[in-house]
Amino acid sequence: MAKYIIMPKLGFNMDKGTLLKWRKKEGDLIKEQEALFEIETDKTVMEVEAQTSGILRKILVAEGEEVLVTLPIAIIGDRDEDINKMIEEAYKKLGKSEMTEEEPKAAKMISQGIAESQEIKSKKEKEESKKISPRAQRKAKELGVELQLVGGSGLGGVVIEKDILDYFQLKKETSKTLIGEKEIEKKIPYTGIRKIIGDRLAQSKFTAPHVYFTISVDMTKAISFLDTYNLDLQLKVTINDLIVFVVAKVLKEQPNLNCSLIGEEIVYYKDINIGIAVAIEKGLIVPVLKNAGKKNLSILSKEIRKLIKLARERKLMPDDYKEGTFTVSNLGMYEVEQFTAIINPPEAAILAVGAIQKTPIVIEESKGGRIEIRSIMKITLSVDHRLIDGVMASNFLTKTKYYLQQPKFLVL
Amino acid sequence: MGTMKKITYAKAISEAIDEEMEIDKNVILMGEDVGIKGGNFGQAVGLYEKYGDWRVKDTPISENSFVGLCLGAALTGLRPIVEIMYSDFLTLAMDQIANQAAKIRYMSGGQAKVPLTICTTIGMGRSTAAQHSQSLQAIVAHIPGLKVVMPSSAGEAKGLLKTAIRDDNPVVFFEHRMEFNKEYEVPEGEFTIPFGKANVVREGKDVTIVATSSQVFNAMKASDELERENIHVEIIDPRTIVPLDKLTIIQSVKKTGRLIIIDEGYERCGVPAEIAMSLQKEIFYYLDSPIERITTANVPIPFSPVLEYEIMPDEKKIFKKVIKLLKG
Amino acid sequence: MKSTKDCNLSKSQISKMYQGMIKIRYFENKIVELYSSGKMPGIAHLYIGEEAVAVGVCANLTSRDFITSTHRGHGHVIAQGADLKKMMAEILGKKSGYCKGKGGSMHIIDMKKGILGANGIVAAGIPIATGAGYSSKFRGTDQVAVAFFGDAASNHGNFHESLNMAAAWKLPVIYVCENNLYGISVDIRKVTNTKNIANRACAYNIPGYVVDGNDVLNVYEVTKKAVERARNKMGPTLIECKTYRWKGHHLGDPGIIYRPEEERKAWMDKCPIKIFRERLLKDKVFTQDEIILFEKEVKEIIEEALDFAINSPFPGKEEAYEDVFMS
Repeated sequence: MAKYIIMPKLGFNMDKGTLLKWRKKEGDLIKEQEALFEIETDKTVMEVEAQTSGILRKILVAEGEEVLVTLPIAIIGDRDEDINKMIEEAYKKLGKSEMTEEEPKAAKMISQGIAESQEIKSKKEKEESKKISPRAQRKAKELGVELQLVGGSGLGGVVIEKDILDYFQLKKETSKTLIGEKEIEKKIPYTGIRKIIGDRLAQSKFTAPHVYFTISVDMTKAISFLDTYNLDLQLKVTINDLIVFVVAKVLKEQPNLNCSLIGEEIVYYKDINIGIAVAIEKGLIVPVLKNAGKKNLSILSKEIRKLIKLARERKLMPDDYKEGTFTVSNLGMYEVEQFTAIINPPEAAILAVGAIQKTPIVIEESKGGRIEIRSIMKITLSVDHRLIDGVMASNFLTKTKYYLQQPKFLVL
Repeated sequence: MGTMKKITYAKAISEAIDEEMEIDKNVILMGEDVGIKGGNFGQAVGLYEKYGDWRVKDTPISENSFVGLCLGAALTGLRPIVEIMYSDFLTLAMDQIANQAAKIRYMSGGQAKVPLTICTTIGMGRSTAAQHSQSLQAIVAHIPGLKVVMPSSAGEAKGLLKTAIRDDNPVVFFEHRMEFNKEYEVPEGEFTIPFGKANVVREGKDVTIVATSSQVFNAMKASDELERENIHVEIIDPRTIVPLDKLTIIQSVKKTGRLIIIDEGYERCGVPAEIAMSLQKEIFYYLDSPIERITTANVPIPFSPVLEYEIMPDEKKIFKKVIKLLKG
Repeated sequence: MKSTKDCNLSKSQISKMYQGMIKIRYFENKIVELYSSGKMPGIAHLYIGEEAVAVGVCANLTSRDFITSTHRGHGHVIAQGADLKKMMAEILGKKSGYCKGKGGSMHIIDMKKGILGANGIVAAGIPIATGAGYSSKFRGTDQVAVAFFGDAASNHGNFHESLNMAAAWKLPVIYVCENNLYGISVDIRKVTNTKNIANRACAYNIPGYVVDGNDVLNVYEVTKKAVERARNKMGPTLIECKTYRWKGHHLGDPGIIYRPEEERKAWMDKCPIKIFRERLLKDKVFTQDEIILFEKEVKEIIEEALDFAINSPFPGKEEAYEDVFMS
């Protein structure tokens, strides 16, 4: 039964050895415990005895070769055995001497890790340096106390549990009825939609230089036109629908108000999407009528009605109040004659529509004039003066006035 | 609770050994001067006369070998108590204590039983200088396989020593030299104190003090003064460092939010460092201030009294530390 | 070697001694095989060449007596009757080993057979054996304790402290020094001023004997005297056995840099097993066939032990935390 003779592991740290000298040659008879070969490892030369008896059939490793421990270096067995398979397998094992690339990879990963942790460390150092004891943090969380508001009385100004408890007590007692010397009726948090709208408006007002232009529009003809129009076609088109329709048309003719300042570029839009401000319980929502310039009055009116309904029922989809390019805001139903609106960012302008009032106006004639009572509506355009100047604004308003005062022509 | 009697700490120790030697005839006591002299601190007085030369054996000055001898006897049927005069001399017997006694049960896969008690003494404050003043409990607490006991009063010493002798594991028992001649109230009759159960010596709500051995008394003195400042200290005597009663200390710190640990060993890698670290995860979010320790400074212990008192824990240092923690 | 007839030993005692010696030799050779094939964790310190000492001494002991041994402990432990399967399994770190894989070659312990442990610390077993002797005397039994140790250990404090106490208190301990001339690589003759370690006995006022450590019958006889002395409460004895280890200090140390080749060859020629076998054949105690049969039987026992060890499972990871304390 043929056996491998292996490179023996003769030391704790020995992982390879050099075959220095074969004491026997192929074909020799070997006796157990007889010296068979010499190996060298770490400057030590060692003699190795045979562990079994037999014929040294094949030497697999030559003198001077270095081999990993436990790999086969020779075959010992009977004289006539077939050992070809063993030789083949042994050579395969000996042929494999790959060193894995693990070490450099691992080193890379470790150095990456160090770089990352250093990054995190410097981030943490930038955070605030107010010291709060773990006990105080726990208590603050439990009681819902805002830590930034609490002063520290512990050693070194550390906020300790006592400070949290004291603050909590104080808040409970003093914040009940007064602010300064004014008595409080009620308090509600400034959150949610109101806060979101409020913040956006504040941002708009403080960023865009608002300039306001007002014009008076005689809506007498428009009103009677709509009455007939609605009767003939069984529709419910409102004054506001008409205003939106006209604004869309004017913007088509005068697209220089249909734009936004984006970065360092003024972007003029192809689409005319008009936002219609709708009052809801908690604030204002502005559903957008898309492609207003391409729709006729009856379709426009229907869509507007749908949008307002959805808005009031809070069923608007995000798509319905995005992508506006111009907004119309109408407070006519509240009898407000005139007001200035804040532009809806990132739009460049907003039209504020006031109530229609029966007003005595002067009708000019060749000789003097006469006074008539007409339905007059004041509209005020707010523009972002970075993008729209006085002439542009004025032209827009005069055109709008013109069309509103001659509605017949528009519909045809 | 039965009647109490007033005896010295030294008497309490010798009573513990005496009672155990009566119960189990295989209990023997071995060490330098334990026989005829009755121990260098009076802690074995009367035992030699009662039990004779073979049960109370005076040894030559051969710490490593007579500890090894007691270990061999423990492995072969006896229940020896071996005395190492000063804890400083534990170093002389470290092979038999740390490499042999501590490990034989484990290395033998549970075959061997080592019912060995090693008694030694600690205590600074009498100008015995660097080689006779150390408290080396941290060194043996570090070695797995050894139990470490540090009694405070005489009653505590008696109850804990009886438990140590009855324990089938190697126990290192640290007596305090400054206590031997002091008298304490000790319960009459048979009683033992279990390992791993700390004693809440005093209750309080402002700060937890964990104090080992005689430091309990320093803590109590400081606490009396602190009451005058309206500061109420909770004092805990852990009794055993291995096994350590963590739960009692954790519950206390959850209540007070502050922890000071006092031990007579050197500061570096001492018992307080271990106690603090082994608890800190569970008490971290209950702490109002960092954990503090009061220990002996990291210097060899000097001879001259003014220097010695400078570097060792005392009630003044404890008082100051608490005031600083609470009042800033 | 003197004739076996002068030794007052039965045939069964003699065969036990011979088998004991070849058991040790084959076991150690098997360890070499295991180690070189990379199957053994850690290292071992081989007893090859010193078989006569362990066997000669332990032939005087029963399992009620105690021995402490050294890092080179396989020989003592086998001679005192240790279970080869449990030994082999322990050496491979298996759960079925003597110490559940927690001790390894240097810490083989069998409390039931009075084997208080091989020990990794030089001279550490000497006080422990002394304590066993104290315990025996204390309890009034006739048990004796044998401390095996090497020449280097006889320079350690423990040796002197223990002999002093054993002598002062007349403890039933036999101190057996295996002088194989080297403490790892340090020649004892260069660090000691006494020619015979046994001479040190007079410092403690106890008998000391120099013995041919390769002559198992000589070891047996001298130990017999010491054991009787101990059992008769007459105190300790120091026996120095002159012997030699064939291999290096531990597996992996060829042991040839620090030892002259002629010295090694000369001692190997005095192989204790060879000497004993020739004696037995000459005195016609056994035939050549009987000897071959002994050898075959022992080889089988070793193979069985190896099989058992190789097929045994390793301990579970959670066992690392067990057996620190007794509950």
